[in-house]
Amino acid sequence: MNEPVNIRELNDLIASKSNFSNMIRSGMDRRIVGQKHLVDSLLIALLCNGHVLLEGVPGLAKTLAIKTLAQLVAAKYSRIQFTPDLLPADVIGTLIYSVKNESFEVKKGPIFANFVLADEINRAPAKVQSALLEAMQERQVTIGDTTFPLDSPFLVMATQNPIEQEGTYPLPEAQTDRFLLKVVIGYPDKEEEKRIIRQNIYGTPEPVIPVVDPKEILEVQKIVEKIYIDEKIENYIVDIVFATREPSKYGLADLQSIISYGASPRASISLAKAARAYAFLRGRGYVIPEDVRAVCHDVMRHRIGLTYEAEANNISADEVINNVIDKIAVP
Amino acid sequence: MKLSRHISLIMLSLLTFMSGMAAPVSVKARLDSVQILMGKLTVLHLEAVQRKGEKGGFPMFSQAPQDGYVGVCGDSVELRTSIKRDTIDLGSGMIQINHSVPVQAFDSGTYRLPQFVYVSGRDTARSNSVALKVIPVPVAADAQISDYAGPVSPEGSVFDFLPDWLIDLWWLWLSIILLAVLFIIGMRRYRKQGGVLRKKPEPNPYEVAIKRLGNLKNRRLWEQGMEKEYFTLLTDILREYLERRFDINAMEMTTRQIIDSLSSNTEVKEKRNYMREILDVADFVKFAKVRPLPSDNIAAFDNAVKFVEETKPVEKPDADDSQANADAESNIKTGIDIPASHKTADNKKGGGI
Repeated sequence: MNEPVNIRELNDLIASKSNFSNMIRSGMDRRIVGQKHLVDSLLIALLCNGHVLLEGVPGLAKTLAIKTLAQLVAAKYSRIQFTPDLLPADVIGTLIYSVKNESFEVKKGPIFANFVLADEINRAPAKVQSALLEAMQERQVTIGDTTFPLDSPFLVMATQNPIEQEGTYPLPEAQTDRFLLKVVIGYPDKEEEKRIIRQNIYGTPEPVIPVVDPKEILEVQKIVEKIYIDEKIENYIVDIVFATREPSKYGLADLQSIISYGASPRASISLAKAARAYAFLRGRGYVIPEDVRAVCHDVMRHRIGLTYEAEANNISADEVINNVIDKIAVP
Repeated sequence: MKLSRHISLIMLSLLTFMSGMAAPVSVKARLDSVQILMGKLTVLHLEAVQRKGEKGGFPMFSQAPQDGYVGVCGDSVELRTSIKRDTIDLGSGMIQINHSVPVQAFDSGTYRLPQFVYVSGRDTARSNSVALKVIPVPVAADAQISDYAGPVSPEGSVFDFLPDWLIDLWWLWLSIILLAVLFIIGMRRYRKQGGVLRKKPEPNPYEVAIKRLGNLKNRRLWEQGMEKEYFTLLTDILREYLERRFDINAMEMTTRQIIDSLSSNTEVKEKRNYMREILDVADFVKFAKVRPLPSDNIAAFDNAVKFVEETKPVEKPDADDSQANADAESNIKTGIDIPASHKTADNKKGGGI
């Protein structure tokens, strides 16, 4: 086939970097049983320079996943346990008076790391959440008079527990929108659970050896940015997002009373970015509709507001997304 | 002398005029039947003549209650007050008012009805007197004595049990029933005729796909460097074919989903490779800016035609056909030759799965 050089070059480039994702995946597999989707989502977020909001009950290897990823990338990792008495300074850092030097010195917070696990983000008050989310967005932190850029790559994985809602501060919609993906993880199956038991009770787990350099991740991020998205795919993304805003125009009148607000333009951007990263993980230099559908749920589920009627009828955002993607014609 | 003659003439004409002006009010009475059975009715006609424009009437009736009666002859004869009146213009400023008064009596005997006084304006007139004989009802002394009749239950009908509003609006219900009947008749005719506008038989998905593929070939898109449009149309034709032929929502499915759907369909499982080859190349062309070789374009088209041809719906024998066959068999038995085509309707064009 006489394909244009740029796509061929890109495909070759992606093929040369394909071991990157394979190495990370196999490294993750050695420590985490199952949770393939979680691993893929973390990789997508990493490749898109985005962040992940993770929802799942305790004990599903959320912390282990991001910790292992940090170790595999040989990057700096920090964990912040969000509590009601947490202060913004505990996250971003503060100025401390040094008696020795007789001056204020900057004490950087745990956010100065490549991989940050914000555990149970909804347990801290809004001011702390805002401090974190602002840092996530701006990728820089101002302490005193000085602005400090955050490390690159920078990935925040925030977790939420879906069952204990008492005494929590649910993230406002505007804040959740800043997460590239919202991943909902479930329990492992029987076979996986058996493997988890064996892995944890027989001997010590083998140490994680770094397989990727943070610089390599930045290079791969640049490659991902070059992945080709055809206008047909753009139209497909736009149709999906618009169908959440004006369902009746897309033959989804039933959803009109279920959706209180549709996905934002940031959703369109995130969908395109995530689809590109997914295409990279599949070794392609171009995006196909399958890539869009694969990331659609994770990108959109926290960006669609549901009405009281939907909640009363136990209709989830995932069901709404299913209806939308089953109705929009694939290019 | 002459003057006295004139005066006497004037006086005479004045008297003549005055006599005309003072025409007497009169009233005349007569009975339809002067002899009635006890309890039976006869009619008393009272014909009153009076001047036009004057108010007149019988004082004896004027104070009686409506639909009541006035008793005369010691209350033995009852004159009903439900009087019918009829006025006749007699000319010369006079009218005649005929009063028809029902008369009834419950005591036998002969009665002379009193004169009826009629008052019109300032004039009063009396009628003539009429006689009425009331004959008692003959009693059959030798007839068998019967007991009192028992209480008679009123004649009931279904309407007694219905609410008044339902009965009062009978015209509405009748209209609704009529409309319903008309609607049912109309619907039956509509069905019999196959609808007001006869539905066009749905074209066979196979025929549509082949026709559209032919059109696509004739447009010579890839020959003009429009490979992307060519593959977009080619995949659209195939997707629509899959949707109509196999009930797969192919228009809303990705390449992998379509192949998975075909894999799970036993009828088309073997032919899915044609589709896989077409869709894989189409994805390259549509989404990766790839310009395929002419041989790829031809191969994709050939694969599309092969797929459609090899999954062509098999026409099931029509019910009418089987009936015709049965008739043909019976013809052999009976020896009467009836051509099957005379009995069968046109074969259904297009086929199901």
